[in-house]
Amino acid sequence: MKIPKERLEKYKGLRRDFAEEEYINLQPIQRGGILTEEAMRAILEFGDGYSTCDWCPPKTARLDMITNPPIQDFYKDLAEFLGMDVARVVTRCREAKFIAFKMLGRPGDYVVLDSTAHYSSYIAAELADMRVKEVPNSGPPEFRVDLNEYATKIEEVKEECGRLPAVILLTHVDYLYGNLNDAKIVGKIARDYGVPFILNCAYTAGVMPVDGKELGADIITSSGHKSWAASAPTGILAFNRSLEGKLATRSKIEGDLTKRKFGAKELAMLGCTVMGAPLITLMASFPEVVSRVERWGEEIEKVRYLVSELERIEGVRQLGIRPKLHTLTHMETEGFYKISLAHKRKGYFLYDELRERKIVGIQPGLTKHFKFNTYGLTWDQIRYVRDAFFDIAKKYGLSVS
Amino acid sequence: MAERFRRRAADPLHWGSNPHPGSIGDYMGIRSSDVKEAIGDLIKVISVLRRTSPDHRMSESQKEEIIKYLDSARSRLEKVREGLKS
Repeated sequence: MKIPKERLEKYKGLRRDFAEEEYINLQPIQRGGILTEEAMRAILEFGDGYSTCDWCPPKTARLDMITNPPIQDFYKDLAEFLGMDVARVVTRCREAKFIAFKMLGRPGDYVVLDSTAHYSSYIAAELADMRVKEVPNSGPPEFRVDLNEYATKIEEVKEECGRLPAVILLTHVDYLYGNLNDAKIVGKIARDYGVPFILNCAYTAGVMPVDGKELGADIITSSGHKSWAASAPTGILAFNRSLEGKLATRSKIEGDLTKRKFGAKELAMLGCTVMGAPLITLMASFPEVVSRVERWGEEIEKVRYLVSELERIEGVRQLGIRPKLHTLTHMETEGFYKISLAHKRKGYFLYDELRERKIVGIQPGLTKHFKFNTYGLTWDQIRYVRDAFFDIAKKYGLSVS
Repeated sequence: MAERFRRRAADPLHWGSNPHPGSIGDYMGIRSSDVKEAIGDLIKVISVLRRTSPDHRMSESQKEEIIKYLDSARSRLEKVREGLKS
């Protein structure tokens, strides 16, 4: 089928409306994925299709066996950095969770997970034919997950099924309120019951220090494009050696006619996973990621400063656990909501006002609640954001204390 | 080892990055690495712009940093231009 040339014009010279060079982007899922200089340069070298596979060893043709570029070393360094034994790069964090569920559970088994888990944790369980049992949270305003309730839920599953859940999953920092959960508590419960413990570090590993061994995690999942200064799609699946037999088991299938076998391929990875530009950006940013997690304390200082400043605006308060332990933040903004009721643009007025001031990432249409992430902003940019909100508040008659 | 390098030099897959004389990278005196290094310099400029967005109020040292990268890019591109004449 031929597509008319004029229809193809729109694919030429693709430009982003909100270039990082022109705007401050507060979008909660984007701050940790902004590329480093090294990653941008690496795309020039390895952006072409299978370019990372020039030196794929013919006898052990697998991504993690490639030594040039140093993918094999990277996998080892990645595991060590996370305090785990083995690491694989997969397409997304959700795929890492699905692989873990699929390889550790059986159809009908339970996954015990926190009630602030991302939707993809639920869908990964569903695709693996598993059921979920949720650990409750305290509700507004903190939405704190009661971590000790993991033991209760494990008991409930045992009572109901006569066997333990296949895995338990804790979202290290949730996507809704940016609450940091104390993984050690759940790690201990998992160890006591002998149930594998998945720590979903989509918002933590890569921006803040995470040591799986110290936290008692058997598996860590994470997201390269969310928190490791990498292009999408990149996910991380890291695990302890004790689970290698299950998670990295090799293919056993054999063609009935050809008798072909693929014994070098890891079954759950479907052979090779992420190659080319996404993987190479993850690798190229790795030295900076290793260094930047040490500066996490300053990131917390910045978000706490901004939250305390924004709370000077009438009707604005932070939701979730206080003080902030993560840069992803959820604000309740009753004052802006009241303005929106009488504004001709309704809820979109705040987005318009921010965009006019070159700030994006707050979801269009929201004024009652919204989320943002300050990760990686400079102090000057933090102050710029504060001033913009003050300016908007004053323009519409909200008091700033 | 020498045999490995010889085979690599003869392998068309690696001509773009091959430092051996006579490889395609030296054709007409142009080195693709100069172009990439110039882009690398400009990426550094972008990086400063990202740190100073959206108003780009820069300290003197940031301005100097940008000028240094622009000069470096210019000089590398000049080499590419000279290569075309040779």
